[in-house]
Amino acid sequence: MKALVPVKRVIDYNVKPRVKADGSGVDLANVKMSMNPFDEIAVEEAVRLKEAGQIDEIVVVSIGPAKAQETLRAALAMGADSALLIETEEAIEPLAVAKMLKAVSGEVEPGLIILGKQAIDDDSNQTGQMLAGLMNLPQGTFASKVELEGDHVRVTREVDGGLETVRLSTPAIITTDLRLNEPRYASLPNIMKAKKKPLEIKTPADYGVDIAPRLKTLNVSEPPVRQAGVKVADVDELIARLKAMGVA
Amino acid sequence: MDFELPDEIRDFCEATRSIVNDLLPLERDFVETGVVPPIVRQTLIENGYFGMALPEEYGGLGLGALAQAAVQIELARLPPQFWTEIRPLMGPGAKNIAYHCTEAQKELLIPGMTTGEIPVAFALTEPGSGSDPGSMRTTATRNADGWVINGSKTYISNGKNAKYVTVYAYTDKSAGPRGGISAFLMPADTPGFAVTGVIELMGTSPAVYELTFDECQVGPDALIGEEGKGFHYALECLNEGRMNVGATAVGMGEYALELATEEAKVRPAFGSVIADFQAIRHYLAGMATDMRAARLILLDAAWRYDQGEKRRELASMAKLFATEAGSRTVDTALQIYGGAGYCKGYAIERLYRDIRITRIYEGSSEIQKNTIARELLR
Amino acid sequence: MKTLVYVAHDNVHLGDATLATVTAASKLGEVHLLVAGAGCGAVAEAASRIAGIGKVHVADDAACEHQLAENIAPLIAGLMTDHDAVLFPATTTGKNIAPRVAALLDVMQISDILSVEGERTFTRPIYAGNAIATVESSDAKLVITVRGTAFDKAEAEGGAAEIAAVASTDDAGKSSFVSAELAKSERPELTSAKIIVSGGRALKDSATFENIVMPLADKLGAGVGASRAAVDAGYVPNDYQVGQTGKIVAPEVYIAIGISGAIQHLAGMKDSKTIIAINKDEDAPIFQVADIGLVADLYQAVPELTAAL
Repeated sequence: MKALVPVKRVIDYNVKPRVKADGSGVDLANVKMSMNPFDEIAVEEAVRLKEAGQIDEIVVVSIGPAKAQETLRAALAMGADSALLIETEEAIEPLAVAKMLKAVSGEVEPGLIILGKQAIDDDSNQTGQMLAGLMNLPQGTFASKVELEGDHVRVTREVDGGLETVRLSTPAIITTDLRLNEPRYASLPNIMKAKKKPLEIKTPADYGVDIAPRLKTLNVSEPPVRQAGVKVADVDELIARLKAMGVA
Repeated sequence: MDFELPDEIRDFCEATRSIVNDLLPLERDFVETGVVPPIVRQTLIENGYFGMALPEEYGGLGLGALAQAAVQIELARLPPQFWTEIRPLMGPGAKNIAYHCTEAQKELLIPGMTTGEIPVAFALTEPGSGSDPGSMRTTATRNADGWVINGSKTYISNGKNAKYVTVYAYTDKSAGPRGGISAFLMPADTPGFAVTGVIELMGTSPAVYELTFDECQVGPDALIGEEGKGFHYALECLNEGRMNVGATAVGMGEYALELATEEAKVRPAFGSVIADFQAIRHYLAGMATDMRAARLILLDAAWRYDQGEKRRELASMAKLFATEAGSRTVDTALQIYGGAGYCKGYAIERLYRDIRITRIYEGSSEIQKNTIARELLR
Repeated sequence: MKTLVYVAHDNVHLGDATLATVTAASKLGEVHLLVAGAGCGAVAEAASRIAGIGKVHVADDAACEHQLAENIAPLIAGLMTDHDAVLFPATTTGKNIAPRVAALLDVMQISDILSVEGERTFTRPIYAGNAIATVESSDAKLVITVRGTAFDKAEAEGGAAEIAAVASTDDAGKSSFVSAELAKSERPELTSAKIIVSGGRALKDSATFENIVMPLADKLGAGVGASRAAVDAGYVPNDYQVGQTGKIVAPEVYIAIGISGAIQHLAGMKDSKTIIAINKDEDAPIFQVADIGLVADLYQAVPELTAAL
């Protein structure tokens, strides 16, 4: 069985984004970019399934700028076998991404498609579910545990009240939550090996997908700033204030 | 002219940075207990760091000087005790083995060196002969069974844990250092060999050791390479050792600059933050300029080395400038931190102690200047 | 505009998150509700009493029991011939189903809206709440998820809407529910709690968390939350997590204990009405958003506070 893992190049988790003064977006010039953390978890899960002998081959795909090759190389260094970049400088919305991934899946024929639950730039949390809808496949979103059982996969999901387990027929779509695993480091020897793994480059036109955006961003602004309040000297003063608020 | 690091090396740096960021919180455990958590060594081994400089055919990665320097810059953010075991695996000791040992010796040692199973010490320095190895007193005398080694060495990293020691000894005092010193590979369980002293250091670096060789009998196959070439072997890898120390200073200095910049932006004073004051801004500007120059001179020397331009003065200039600039930067960073920088538990305090040695070992700043001047006036 | 709101429920109770979603929908036009479940009559009844709504559609069918997206999405897509917009509470169930509906309708979803700025214009957080985007949709139909804390709750009583049964689509046969392991707690649920007491990494371990945070929460009748660091360190399960990757909360009072205030945590609680922080480190970023801060050792201050209440 093959696994397909889409990965996105996004602003690094540790960088605080700055909104551009003209309200056109977030300033990404000279900002450190990395693989979306949830996608890293997705790659790790695929690699673990491969190490367990349940997956034979891992294909990673990214839709984004030429620099996204670095992100794909990072996935290859973690253990993916081959990579595909659908190169575009445009910002592609989740719906168009899902359509392209559907086309890619038609070529790769994966048994599992594992995606991050959301990208930490647009925070949409849509692509996996949309892909499942477009392909009419079952979906196990926000996964904290994935167990392959023959032609089915059992997925434990993080839901608001706790955990929920569902059983899906394969092929299936899985989106990862934080606790699914802890991604490994790209080790120095694996970075060297990754250089020799295949990385193919295509364009959205190769898949005939309309990438015109459906949403127009009118403005991007800073969130309202919360002002710091007062510091109290001791517990007694804190209690007095709580009482004044009617809390205690 | 392209000043960007090659993709692969940049990937090494990024991977190393994420490992370093994950290991840094363990510094607190280390400071409290004095013991490096075992996960640190395990992580570095698993991710290939022990084998960086060792040849690929024996399980290493065979990285060049530029890659090693770039990675060392990242590793140097960690307390030295976390990574110091890698130093002998990158420096002259390991290179002696890689370049001049027999196939049998290499197969015996190098795979175990890359996995951390065979720690090796590099024993050149002696009491009273730090910058002048030619004045060493250790001797190796040939007998029917091979060689008998007598003498003592000091400031030897890894001396206590090593399973093998590369020892430099006079085999023919009358021939002088060039021609008279040979290198030997001696198992640490050789009778007569002993760790006779532990020298605690100012920094968080682990202790270094004093080693004594009392009638240590080794076989004829213990000789590394050719008889009389030991001094030559030790010197041929000096550039690499020096660039490694330069990289350490760049890493420590850049880290201090980062910490000080962040501190300046949040530290309140007189109704403002200290980054608003020109004195602090000029400090930061000077530090940033120093560290940028240090990084460039170091990476330039390493890149040229990889291209075959192994001019000794380039490595010396890189080490000299990087360690002096790094030290200035750490010192000023502590000044910016004020009293907090002098307190245990702040990284600046640790960097202040640790960077001091970089101006001394692998050739002091004064020795580097001698080398630079000698090449200039040649 | 005719809108459809997906009702959050567990087949027995109507979920609180529904009410804020109704408020958001009412800004667009007429509000219809959909209750999809099995044996969910009581929920439909409750839904019909929400003030200001038009009609409650009920799909009461075994295929809908666990609200599996594979079965619910086609049902909603079918109902969209008569509706212009569908709004889901941004709960895990809503977030699971909505994009699948959007894909079936060939619509680009608008996630986690904070406000309605016009018929097709909304604001939503991006970059973990570090920026707010105003977006305008050009799609014929709207598929939206709504951040519950950003809208007032509609009145739960006062309406008397018609309840109409709709036929469920069949079980898609691709997925099945196996089990649920829901945290049982006497304490209020985080997203609806009026007071939340949250603990951070400084709590050291799960026993300490239990001994320090829980008694205070019980005294105040508060829900209990935690920072991601505390969850990662294993002090409490993940469903306690408040933050960008956990729950987004906006209670009347949020008490942060031993939480430094990483951006990702602030993103989950900074809309709380009053934030109280107790932390040993006076430079902790949490104090930059706290209305009331106490610089103190939590091991002394919190038990003292609990005892005095």
